[in-house]
Amino acid sequence: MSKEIEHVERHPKVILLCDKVEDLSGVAELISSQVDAFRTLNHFEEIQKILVDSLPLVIIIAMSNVKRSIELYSKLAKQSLLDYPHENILLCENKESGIAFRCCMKGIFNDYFVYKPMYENYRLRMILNNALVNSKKNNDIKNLTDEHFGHIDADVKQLLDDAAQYQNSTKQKLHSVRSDLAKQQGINEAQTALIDELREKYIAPLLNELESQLNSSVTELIDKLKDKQHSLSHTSELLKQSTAPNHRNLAPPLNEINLEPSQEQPLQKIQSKIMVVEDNDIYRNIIGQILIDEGYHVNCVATGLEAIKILRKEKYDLVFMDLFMPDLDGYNTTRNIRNIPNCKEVPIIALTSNKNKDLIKKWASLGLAAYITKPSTKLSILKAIEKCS
Amino acid sequence: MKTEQLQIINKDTIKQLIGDNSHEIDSFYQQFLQQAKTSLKKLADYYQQSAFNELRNEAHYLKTSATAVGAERCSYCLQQLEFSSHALDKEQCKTHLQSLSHAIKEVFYALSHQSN
Repeated sequence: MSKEIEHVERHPKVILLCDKVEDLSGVAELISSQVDAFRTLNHFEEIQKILVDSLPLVIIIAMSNVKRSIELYSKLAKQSLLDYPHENILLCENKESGIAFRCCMKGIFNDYFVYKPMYENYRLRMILNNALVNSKKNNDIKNLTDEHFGHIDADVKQLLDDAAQYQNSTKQKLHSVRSDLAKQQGINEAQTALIDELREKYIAPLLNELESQLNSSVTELIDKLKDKQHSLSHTSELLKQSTAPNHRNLAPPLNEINLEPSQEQPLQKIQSKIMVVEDNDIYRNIIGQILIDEGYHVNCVATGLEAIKILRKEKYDLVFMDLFMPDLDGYNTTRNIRNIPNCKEVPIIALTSNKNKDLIKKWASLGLAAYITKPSTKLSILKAIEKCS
Repeated sequence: MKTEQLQIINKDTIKQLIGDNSHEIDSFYQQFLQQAKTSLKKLADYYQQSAFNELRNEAHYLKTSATAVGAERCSYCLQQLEFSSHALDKEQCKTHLQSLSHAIKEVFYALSHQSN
């Protein structure tokens, strides 16, 4: 790796890394005719310097064999010199094309090109052009022009131009059809609005009525159970008085009869349904456990999408919502929830470790009942719920 | 702030959240250690790939549980990692990842010692 190099561009966009410059003179000439900012490099220190200074868009590697090419590329990668977006092309001998193909299939290189014993001029131009286009920063790179293609017959040229024109006009037609389709979606939007209106005016009130009837039935049942409990208590007292020595065998004291989850709990808690939306399973379980211990019906979900899906079907009395979640964050989940007919007023308590007041203010504009800074305490969480009731 | 000024595991934090039930507390500590192990591996992979956005999200994710169980040093390292990955500062990310790894080991030893 000591031969005089031929192309000495200071900030190359395309670099060719090799150990025998003389073997690649034809390839180098071809590339330089297509790209001004090109350089051939065969000293490791120089390669390092150019990668740091210029971040070339396309790296072509043509060491004496594929193994050496991979070793060089790995060495550069391990030194974190390739931690930026770039395209890489492997040049190899015909006998190693199978290995080169496998390298590309495994995603090590974007493409490969056989340059020994012979190479196909236009194929290399095509690969290079594609690499430059893919790099998306090809403003200062020459586009392929007629001069790069050599002489072709006039009728063939005409045929190519016609084909290109036909392709462009097809693309335009496709674009215009897509635009028309997008306009027609307005009709679908009108239909959706009508369905929403129907749902809001008729279906939602019907569901609410059903739910209220169910709630009344449950209340009635609980009252009946309480009456039963009272009469049992009364009977127990009577039995205690009449058969004092054996009273424990005949009727246990009432506080041992567990008719309800907790005698002290307000009834409202037992009926209240709370949803916890939090992606972190540990924190989600902690909040869930606190609420269950307090006698609430709790449903914990990990994503905003899941929450929306459930809230469309079921009514909840309160929602705890995390801010940062994958896919759909707390702000956008809240925005979607507010569009669900039954959820326009549902209290939402924000769970956040973010101290960005502006973000919370923006979120609050969608109607937050309270916000809790993680991890918080049981007391603060219960106070926040109290505030919502 | 130096991490030494923070507690390895502040038991009051989780007690103030879920109460004194030691069985429940131990269960959440175990869950945290398991999550930290998985998460640390992911963080290292994202660092290797220079995937700063993923690195930041994963750091934020683990920070939530570290804060909840009172792993103050871990939580601090994760906060710093969030900042460094946001600033695309790979060198700083490496430093905070190393500190995080150490902080997680400290939690592990502290909890193992407690159970013996």
